[in-house]
Amino acid sequence: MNFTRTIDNQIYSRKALAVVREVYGKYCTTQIEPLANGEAAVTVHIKTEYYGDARQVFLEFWNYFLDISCKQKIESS
Amino acid sequence: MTPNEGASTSAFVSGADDLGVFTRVSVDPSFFSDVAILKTAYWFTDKYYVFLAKNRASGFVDVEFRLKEGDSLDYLTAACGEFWNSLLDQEVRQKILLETASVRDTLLKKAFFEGKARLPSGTVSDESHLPEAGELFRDDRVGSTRPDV
Repeated sequence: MNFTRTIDNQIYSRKALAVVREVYGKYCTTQIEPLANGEAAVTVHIKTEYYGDARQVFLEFWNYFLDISCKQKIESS
Repeated sequence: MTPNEGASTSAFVSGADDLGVFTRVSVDPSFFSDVAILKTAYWFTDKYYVFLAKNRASGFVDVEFRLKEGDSLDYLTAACGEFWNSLLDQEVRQKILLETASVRDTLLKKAFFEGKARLPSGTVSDESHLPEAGELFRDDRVGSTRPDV
């Protein structure tokens, strides 16, 4: 089971992605495909044992990703 | 011109997909700063699932909301209203922060400078006359028992 979202590097940083991948590594794996104009397609593959909570895992992953990205941008502003 | 025509600084969309119902608002970054948008979104991640996307076609920032539990579109619509209010609040705070930056810096510098101010050069701590254990007042060598003149 997987879900893909396209992100903009100006909002979601690579550094934040590295953190969130590590934290959520128990629940899912991620695949990143760089696109044009500083965008990237991020596919989150939910691990089979967490299929029942797929929605929660996926959306928590993205909330945490946004959390860290926001903190980084705010601190550097 | 009808009310829906012309330039718009916001848009509202609601719908449903594999992840459930969602609402989405589009924020014009020429009206609201990136920092204000990010700070507001950051606060909303506590209560909602939030996703930000830059819309290349319009130049707007799309902010998507999903409920952590349930699928009430009414709650999500209310969340969008709250978001606009908070965004406006945050934008004003950012503007005030920038306008008062120099005053704030001056006050901080003054506070730290006063904290670091040196003692006058003539002030030397002389502890050679500190009373020792068992010493009586009549043995007072520094005259601390003398009445003030």
